[in-house]
Amino acid sequence: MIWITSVLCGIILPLLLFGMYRLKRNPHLLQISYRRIKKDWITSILTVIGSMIGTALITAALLLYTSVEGSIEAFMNKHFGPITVDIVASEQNKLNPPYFTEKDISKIKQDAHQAGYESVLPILSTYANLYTIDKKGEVESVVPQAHIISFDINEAKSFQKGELEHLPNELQSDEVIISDTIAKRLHIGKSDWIQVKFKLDKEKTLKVVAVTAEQGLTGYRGVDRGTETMVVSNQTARELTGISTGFSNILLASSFPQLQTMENWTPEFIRYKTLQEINVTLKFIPLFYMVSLIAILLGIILILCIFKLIADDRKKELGLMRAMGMKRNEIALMLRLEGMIYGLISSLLGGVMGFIIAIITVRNLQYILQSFLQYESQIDLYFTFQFTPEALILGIVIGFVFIHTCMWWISRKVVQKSIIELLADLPVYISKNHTRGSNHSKAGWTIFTLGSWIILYIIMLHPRYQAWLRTMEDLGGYVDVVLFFTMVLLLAVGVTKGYPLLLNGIQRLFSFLPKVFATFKISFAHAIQNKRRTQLMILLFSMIMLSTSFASVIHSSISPLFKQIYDSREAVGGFDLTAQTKGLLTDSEQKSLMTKHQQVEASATVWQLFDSSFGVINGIDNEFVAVADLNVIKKDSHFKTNRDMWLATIRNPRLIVVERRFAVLQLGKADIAIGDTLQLPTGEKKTVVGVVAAENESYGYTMVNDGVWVSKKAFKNWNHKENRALETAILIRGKQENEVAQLASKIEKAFIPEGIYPVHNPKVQLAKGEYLYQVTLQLLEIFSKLATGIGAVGLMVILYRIVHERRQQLGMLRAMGMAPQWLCTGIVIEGTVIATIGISMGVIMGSGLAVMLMNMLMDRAVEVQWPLLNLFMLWSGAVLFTMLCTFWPAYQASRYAPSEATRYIR
Amino acid sequence: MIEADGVWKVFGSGESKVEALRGIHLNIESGEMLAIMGPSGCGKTSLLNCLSGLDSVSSGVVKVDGITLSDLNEVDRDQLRSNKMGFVFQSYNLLSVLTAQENVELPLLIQGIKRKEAKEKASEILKRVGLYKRKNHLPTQLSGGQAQRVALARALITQPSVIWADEPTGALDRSTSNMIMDLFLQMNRTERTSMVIVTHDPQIARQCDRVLYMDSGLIVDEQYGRED
Repeated sequence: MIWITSVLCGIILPLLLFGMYRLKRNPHLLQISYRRIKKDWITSILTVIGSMIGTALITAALLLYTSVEGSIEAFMNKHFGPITVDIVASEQNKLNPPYFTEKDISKIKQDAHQAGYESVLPILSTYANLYTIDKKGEVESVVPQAHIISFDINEAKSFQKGELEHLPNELQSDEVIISDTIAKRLHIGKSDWIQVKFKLDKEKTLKVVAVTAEQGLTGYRGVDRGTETMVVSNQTARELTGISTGFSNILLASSFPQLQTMENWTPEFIRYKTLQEINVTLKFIPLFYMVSLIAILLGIILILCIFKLIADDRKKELGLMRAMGMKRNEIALMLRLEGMIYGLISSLLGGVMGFIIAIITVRNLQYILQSFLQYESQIDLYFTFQFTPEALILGIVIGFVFIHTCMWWISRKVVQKSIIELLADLPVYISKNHTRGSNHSKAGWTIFTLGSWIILYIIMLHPRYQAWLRTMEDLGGYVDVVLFFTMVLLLAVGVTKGYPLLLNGIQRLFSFLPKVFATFKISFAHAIQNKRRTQLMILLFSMIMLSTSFASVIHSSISPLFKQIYDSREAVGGFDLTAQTKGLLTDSEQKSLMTKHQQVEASATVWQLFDSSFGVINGIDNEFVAVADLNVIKKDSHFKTNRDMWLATIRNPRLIVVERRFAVLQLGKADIAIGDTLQLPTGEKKTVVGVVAAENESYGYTMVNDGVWVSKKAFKNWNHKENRALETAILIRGKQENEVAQLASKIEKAFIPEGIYPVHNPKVQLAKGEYLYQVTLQLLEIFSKLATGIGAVGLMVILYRIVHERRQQLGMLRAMGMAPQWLCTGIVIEGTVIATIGISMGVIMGSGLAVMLMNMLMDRAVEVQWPLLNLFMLWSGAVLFTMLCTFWPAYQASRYAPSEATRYIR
Repeated sequence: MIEADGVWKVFGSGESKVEALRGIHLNIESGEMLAIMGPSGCGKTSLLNCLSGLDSVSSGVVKVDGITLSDLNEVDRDQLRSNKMGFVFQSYNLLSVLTAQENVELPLLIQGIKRKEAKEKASEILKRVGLYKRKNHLPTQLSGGQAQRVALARALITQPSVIWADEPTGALDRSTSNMIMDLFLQMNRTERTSMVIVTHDPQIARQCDRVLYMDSGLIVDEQYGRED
């Protein structure tokens, strides 16, 4: 960003300085520009308002971006520092014994250096619960699942250069270094005692010798993301992990961002993985850029329209100046100067407005993003508004550049005209050689383009096309993009070529009402003759509605996902609470943990094997069948009930049940059939006996309702060694659905000492997800509505200018006896009809863009809802709003006296 | 037909006050062709505006066919202009986006005449001013004389009682001016349309029934007689 800002400033500053130097030599030009702006102060103010909204939105989006980036960077520095990779001993299949020996470490060092990693640090890593006890010997405060880490402090100082100097060089067996956040949570400090309890009933009392800020190694939460970080001595760590020699993990540091694989080892790219998870949650952020860019585009169109009107209005005056001997470049300078004044005022005001919008946006998103990430991924990312001067300057500079460039372009066009052309009476948009063009050719173009558009539209919505697209995987997205932009192009060409036919058609409808016909004729004749202006206005409104309808369709499609949020049992397949633990936990082991909890109606364990290329394989038994309530959409005809299907799958390890979306996304099978054979990553082949459809509302919640289901018996073959990819999901259903929160708290207390943490409440998780989307979409809509403000202001300015430009003609119409209300109606009709064409085009394009983006971002998993009623309301609301915006200039038109017709000098 | 009694027109107030008309008394008979002459700023255009109802008077009375203009509201004044008056200006004031024929038929449409009838009448009157072949041309594609003939046709199409012309030949050369003036005379004779022409051109004035000379907001002289 600094680079772009510097380049833009580097271009603008010399321009500004050169302009100022020229002005010093020609102060009269500044005087003329200033007086012009002052004279037309109403349009000047409206122009500034219209153009500052674009600058404000882009500044806000840039500040939002830098705040998010800054917060992520602070988080990464705090919890990873230089750490990019964690090689976990339990994940290395070839390792025997299951930890890193000195020989392994020297091999890893060699391989890591070859792969480009800068430093290597062997560590011992485990998780434990921390607590303090009061004077009576009772537990006072608890920190569950803290990451306990041990390393050679001297080696660590060279691994994380310059940041661990304050740590003692060595820790005694009963000494510990805690983070300032643990100190805060447990209300302890240096020299206090802390209890550590490991799940194998190992317990230790340790003395705090240092309290340190979380920074890299002292803030690293491990592969399984502990809740806090604590550094212990080598001896304590060995005692807790049970590893007497060697190390459990090797950390690698590098400054390069790409993933560098290593021969012989399976690394965990923890830094990248965490960033990915954060980015998935933040994938809506680009939407703000999109709306901002649309706003900027709107600003450009608006500025072009207004500056063109200003130049047209002053055509004769400029011709006179030329005739008096003023050079072309002086005229251009004068106009550019006006642009510069508009640019400076609007971009500075826009910058301030953008700053305020950014603060409000971050404040609105802050809490929900934090809590969502924390609950979803145990990522403690604190979002704060971070003021970066370069983002603010860049926003202001972008706004200024656009306005200045628009005026530069217009001034260039104006000075290219000859003195004769400038002094001529005819409006600049009508040339001497003007012809109305053939209606047949216009009709031909319109029929061709709009016909092609309709054909493509039908193709895009056709189920066969959708099915074909799914088989194309990533390429499908590009095909969609190409088709969409072809459609936009066809629509734009069709509308801009065909609008005169439409206007003529509308006016003919009123042939039987002569006064109305005359009003329509005058209004539409201007719109038809001044093609460029009309096309720009159509574009302006289509862009406005593009952003608004885009936000509306996204909102309408995502909202139903959370419609049945309060029936979380249905959403997650019949459970209230879930938890996960490493390794395989049997039903009886799990039940022994919960005997005290009478509120539990049923519980089950599902064994899970996570395979990166295949997905999740769930191992189930009778307990699961008793609890689960998954939505079976297809089953083998041999089974009378769903229960029969599940029981047969449990009994027969050769059978498998598949989730529909999983089949589409992971296995690429658009239509999975009963009896199909599926090969698991373990090499075994299974026969599909049922297909399950996870509820829309549970999209993204993949703990137990995603993947495939096989008998637990199949897992016994795979559990021949300690495999880290094997986990157990614990599923719990409470007796009282409305007491789930209390049950969760009780169960968590029982699970924490056993190292099972956290207990998930899908209801809360889904509610947080819903809230995040709702807040985001609301903000997006606010952004879009601000962009709509540009259109409203723009329409008023343009029509006001048009009325001003035509005042002599309006006077003549009054002289001929046309009543003021008809003049007023004419202006309203002109503005409203042009805007309506643009609004309709924008609604079609915006909703199309939303569908395309949803298909791409949501992996075609979300069924896009066409909010036809919403779109109609949006369309009619926009038309009504536009009509209201035309009233003021129309009223101005009606106020012109007939004697205006006798005035010669403008 | 048109009576002005003690008409004053004052613009602005205080130090910037300008008395454009200072108690004008005037009668214009039906079918009369009147020229108004005088130096720039003497109040010719202001008089035309006040008499035609384009502008309101500051004091005094203007009557058109016995109707006092100041008694009419805006809509009725519009209606009166539409039915009884036609206008021709130096800068033609044709609607640049409409063709010659569309410009001419516009006053009829404003009156509420059916489109087909308006079209027929426009074609007919364009034939009379010799511009039928140019009926589909835009004003920008016409010469000054042609544009003024279209403006005259537009003024005549409603068969008004009076045509107000503010320097109708001011932007034209001598021969084109003569051609336009011939049309004015022809319409005056055949249709008995009153004509009030503001002009600087003595040759134009000489062709009118009466010539008024103005100075500083007053009628300072009056001459009768037309050169036929």
